[in-house]
Amino acid sequence: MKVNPESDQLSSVPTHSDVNVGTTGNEKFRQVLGGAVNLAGQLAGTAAGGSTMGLGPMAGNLASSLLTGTSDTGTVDPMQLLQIQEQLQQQSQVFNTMSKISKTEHETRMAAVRNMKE
Amino acid sequence: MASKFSALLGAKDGTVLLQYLAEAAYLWSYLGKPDEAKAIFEGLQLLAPADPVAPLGLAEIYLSEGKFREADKAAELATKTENADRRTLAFAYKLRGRSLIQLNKAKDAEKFWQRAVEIDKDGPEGKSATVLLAMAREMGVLPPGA
Repeated sequence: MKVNPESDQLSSVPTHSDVNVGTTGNEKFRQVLGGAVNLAGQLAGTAAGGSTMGLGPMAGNLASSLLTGTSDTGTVDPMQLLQIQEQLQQQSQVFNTMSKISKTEHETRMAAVRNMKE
Repeated sequence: MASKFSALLGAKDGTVLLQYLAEAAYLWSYLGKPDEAKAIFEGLQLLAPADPVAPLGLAEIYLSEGKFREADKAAELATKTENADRRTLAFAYKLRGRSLIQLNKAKDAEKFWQRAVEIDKDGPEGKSATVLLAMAREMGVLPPGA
């Protein structure tokens, strides 16, 4: 059988240039920005020490996940960010209050133990 | 009795032994072993009946076990002990409040928390009770205060 190399029977097969790359510039930007926010969050968490109990990385993760969920235009709803910030602040406040109460109670217990007499 | 045990351990007086036992009981409690802690607190109550530590410890364990009536009784016993100072007394009233909240007696709980605030007004337990009251009001557990 003779093969004619000039036939167009393979024209329907996509050429290399037609292959979808997968990551658009927009998505790349979002990934990088998400990573940067995450890193910033971790740094903030480290700087703030134990009082925030790792809220920094959590904020970074939240922001990162928020960024990946944005529209193709790449814009982030500032109201959503504000809402998340408020939620985190509220959680942090509750955690700090409970932590303070716990510490006070422990100190009270130990004070009572030190005051024990035979 | 505590002094005899203390002498056996080489300590000067019985106070050291009592303190050691109390700390050991709290340690068990912090480690999530209430049964071990309870046994020590019960022994401590026999050795030092005038001290609030044992009934307070027992009240906290009963609270964690969901035995709120027993917790209230133990906390009440702690408020009646001779050696209770201001701070410890306020803590005992706070525990009574917690037990009573669980028993659906919000008004009584509020009364005891307010008593805790009055007893240790400028102290840490009084302040803590104030925070507790505010939180309970915010959450709607207690009616809004004046």
